[in-house]
Amino acid sequence: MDNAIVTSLVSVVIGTVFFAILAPIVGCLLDGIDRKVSARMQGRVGPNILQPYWDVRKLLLKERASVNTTEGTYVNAALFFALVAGGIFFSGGNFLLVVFVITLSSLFFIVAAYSTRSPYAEIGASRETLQVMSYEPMVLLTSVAMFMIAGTFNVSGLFTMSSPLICGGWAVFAGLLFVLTIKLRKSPFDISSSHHAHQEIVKGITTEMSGPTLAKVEIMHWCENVLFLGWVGMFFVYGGLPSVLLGVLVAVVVYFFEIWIDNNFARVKWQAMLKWAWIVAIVAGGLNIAVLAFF
Amino acid sequence: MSQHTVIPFGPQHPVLPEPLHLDLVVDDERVIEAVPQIGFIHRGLERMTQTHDYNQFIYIAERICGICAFGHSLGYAETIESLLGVEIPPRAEYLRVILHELSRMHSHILWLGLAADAFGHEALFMHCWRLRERILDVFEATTGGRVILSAVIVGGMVRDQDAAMLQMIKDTIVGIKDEYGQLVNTFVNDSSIRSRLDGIGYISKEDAMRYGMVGPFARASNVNNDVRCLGKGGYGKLSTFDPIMDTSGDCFGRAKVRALEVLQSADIIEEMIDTIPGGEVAIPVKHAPEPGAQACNTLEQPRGECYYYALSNGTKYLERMRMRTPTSVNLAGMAMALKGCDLADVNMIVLTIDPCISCTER
Amino acid sequence: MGHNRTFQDVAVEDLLDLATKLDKDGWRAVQVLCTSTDNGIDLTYSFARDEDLANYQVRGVTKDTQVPSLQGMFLGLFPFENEAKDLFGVNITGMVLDFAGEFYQTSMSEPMTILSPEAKARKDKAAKAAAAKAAKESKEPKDGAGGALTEEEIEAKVAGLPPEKAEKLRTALRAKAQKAGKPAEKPAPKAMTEEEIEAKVAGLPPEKAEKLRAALLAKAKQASEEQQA
Repeated sequence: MDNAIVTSLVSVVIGTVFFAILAPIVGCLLDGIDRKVSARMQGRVGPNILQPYWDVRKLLLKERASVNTTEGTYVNAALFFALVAGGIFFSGGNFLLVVFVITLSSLFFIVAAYSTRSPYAEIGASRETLQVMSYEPMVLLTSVAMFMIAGTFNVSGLFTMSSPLICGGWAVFAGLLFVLTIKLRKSPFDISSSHHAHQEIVKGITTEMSGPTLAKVEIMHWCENVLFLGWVGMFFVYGGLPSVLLGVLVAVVVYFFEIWIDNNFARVKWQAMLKWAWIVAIVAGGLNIAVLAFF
Repeated sequence: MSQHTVIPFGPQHPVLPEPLHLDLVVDDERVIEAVPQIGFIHRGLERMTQTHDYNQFIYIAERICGICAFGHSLGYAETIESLLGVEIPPRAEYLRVILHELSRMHSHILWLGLAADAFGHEALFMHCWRLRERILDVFEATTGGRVILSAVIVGGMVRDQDAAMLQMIKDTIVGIKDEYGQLVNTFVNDSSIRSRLDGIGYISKEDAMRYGMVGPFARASNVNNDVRCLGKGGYGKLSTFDPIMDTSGDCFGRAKVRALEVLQSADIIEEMIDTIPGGEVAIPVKHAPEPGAQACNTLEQPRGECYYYALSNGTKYLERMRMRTPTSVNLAGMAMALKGCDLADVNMIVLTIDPCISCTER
Repeated sequence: MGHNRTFQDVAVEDLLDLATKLDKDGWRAVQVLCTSTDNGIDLTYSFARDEDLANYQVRGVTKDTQVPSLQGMFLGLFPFENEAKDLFGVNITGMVLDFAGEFYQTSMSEPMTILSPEAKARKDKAAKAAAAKAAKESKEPKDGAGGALTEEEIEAKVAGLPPEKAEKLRTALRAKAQKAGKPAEKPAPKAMTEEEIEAKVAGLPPEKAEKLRAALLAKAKQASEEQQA
C-alpha cells in the first residue's frame, strides 16, 4: 500500500515538473496562434505568434505595485495548484482529484481579486464565481460518465480500454465542449476577464493585478488551457499510443472551433450563461449518464 | 441583505469614446442611480471669438470634435452667412450636402463598430472600421484631410470637385453598400447581439419629448426632430426625404435607426451627385456684420439637431458664438435610461446615445 | 427653408409663466445660452416646435437677479443652466440637478465674463473712437451756431480775467474767428529759388535728380503765379 502511494506521489511530482516546463510553452504558442487567427478572421494582420511570450516577459520585469501583499500570495497558490492539477492529469492520475484541484486553483484566483477591495475587481470576481458555478456541474458529470464507461477515475486506465470514451459518452463530450467556451474564457462567455471584457468592467478580475502577479496569472491561464484541451483529447484515447496523436489532433481542431465561435458571437450576460450551462449539463450530461446506467 | 457600492465609471474607461464620468450606485450588478458629470475636456472654444475673426473661427469650429468636424464647420458657416445676409451659390449647397452625408455615414459606421465592441463582438468592430476607412479615403481624395476636412468657408466651399471626383465618390458608395448590408444583417439577426440590445434602456415617446431628446436617440422612440425635413440648403432640393423612425425605443431600435440611416445617406449622396448644378462654389465675403445683428441656425448632425447662435458687435470679431450640440440635451435622457439597468448594460446605454462629449463641452 | 426663427425679449419675472405655457403647448426646449455684455448677462432661451424656433432673451441679468430654473418642466436644460452658473456666474435658483459650481471645473471662476487682452484693447479703442465722434458731433453745433465771434464779443469774454490769460484767450478766439469766418485754406507754398532746388537734387542719381528738378521747378512756377495773383 505504502509503495503505491509513494509511486503515485513520485509520479505526480515528476508530472508536475514536466507540466510546469512544457505547458507554459505549449500554452504560449496556443495563445499566439489564437491571436493570429482571430486577427486574420477580422481582416487584420495580427501580432507575431511569440507575442504572448514577450508580453509575459515584460510583465515579469515590471516593478511590484500591488495594493497589498496577500494578492500575490493567493495568485502564487492559484498557479501552484494549477500546475499540480496538470501534473496529476498528465501523469495518469485521478481525474476527479484533477477537477477538484483545478477548482481550488480558481477559488484562490477569485479570492485574490476580492482581497484588493476594488469595485471592478470585486465585480469581476463575483462574475468569475458565477462562471465556476456554471461549468462545475458539467465537469462533475463528465467525471461520473468517465467512471461509468471506463470503470476507473484514473486517466492511465484509459489506455487499457478497447474503445475511446467518446463512443459511450458523446453527449457528455458535447456538453463538455459547451462549457469549454466558458473555461477558455471566450465569447460568448468571456464575462469575467479575458482580453476583452474591458468594455464593461475595465479588466474585471485582473484589474488590480499588474507586473509579476499578472504574469503569473497569464501563465496560469496558459496551463489551464493546455489542461482543458487535454480533457478534450482524453475522450479519444484508448488502447495504444497512436490514439494520443488522435487526441491531440481533436484538441487542436476544437481549439480552432473555439476561436471561430469567439469571433462570431457577442458576449452574453451572466444570467444567460448560467442558465444555458446548467440546461446543457442536465440535458446532455444527465441523459448520457441515464443511458449508461440503464443500458 | 444587499449593500450599495458606488462604481466610478469613467472618465478613463476603455468603452467610452470620450471622457464622461458616471457615478453608478450599484446593488449587486443592478444600477439604482447614475449621476453624470462632464467637464474633463472643456477647452473654452467659444471664447476664442475674441481673438479670431469670423473667417478664422471656422477652423476652430471644425476642431470641436473629430467625428462631427464637417458638421460644425457647415453649421457655423451657415450661421454667419445668415448673419451677413449672403446667399451662397447652389453648387456649393450641393457639395456641402454631399460631404455632410458622407460625414454622417462615417460617423454611424464608426458608432456601429463601437457598439459591437461594447457588447463583445470584436470581429464586427474591426469590420465596421475597415469599411469606414474607405469613406475616409474618399475624404482624403476630395478635401485633403481624413478627419478635419477644412472644406467649408463662409461664402461657399474652398475648392470645387470635378466630375471625375464625383464619380469616384459615387462608385465608392455603391461599392460599400454590399458589404455594409452584410454587417447590418449580422446586427439585426444574431441572437447573442439581440440579447444584449433588445429591451435595454427603454425610453417611451412621452419621456423622449419631455427630456427634449434629439437625433436618432429620439427617432428610435418615434419622436421626429429631424431638421433635414425642413429643407434648408441642399436638403430642400431632394426629391423626397423621410426620416427613419422606429417605435421600439430601446437600444436595438437606436442601432437599427442608425444602421438604416447609412443607407439613406448613400441614396441622398447619389441623388445629389446626379443632379448637381454647375457654377462657382464660393462668393467672396469680407465685410463685417451689422452691430447688434444676431442669427441662429439649426443643422441635423449625425447625433441630432445642432443649434448655432451668432451675435455681432459691428467688427469682424463676433461678440458671441454658440454651438449647442445634441449630446447636451441627450444627457438627461441617458441619465434616466440608466436607472434600473444591469451593470453590463451601462456601456450599451451610454453608447446608444452616441455621446460626443467634446462637442458638449467645447 | 429651415426653422422659422424669431427673437423676442422677455423679462425675468415672466420667465416661469412663459415656460409653463410653452410646455403646455408642446414646445421642446432647445438650449439656454448666455452673452456677456456691459450691462450684465443676456440669457437666450430657445424653444422649438415643428417648424418654429423661438428665442426668448432676458437682458441684463446681474448677480443679484434670481433667475428661476426651468428644469422642473424641461429636464434636458440641466447642462446649460449649470454651465450658465459655472462659466457666467448667473444666479439660477431651484435647479433639479444642481452641481453646485462643479459641473465645469475651471481654474478661474466665470471665465466667459473675462475679456481677453486683444478683445479688451479692441473694445477700448472702439469706445474711444465712438466717444470722440459723439463729442465732436455734439460740439460743432455749439460753435457753428454762434458763428464767428466779433471783437466786442471777444472783449466781453476776456473781461474779468487776469491780463496774461486774457491775452492768450483773446488771440485764441481771434484765430478761431478768423478760421470760422474764412474757409480753411492751405498756406501758400513758398516759391523755391533755383539754388534751393539744386541743393535738394544734389546727391541723387541722374534720372531721379532730373525728375525731381522738373517737378520742383513746376511747383515753384505755380506758387509764384499764385503769389502774384
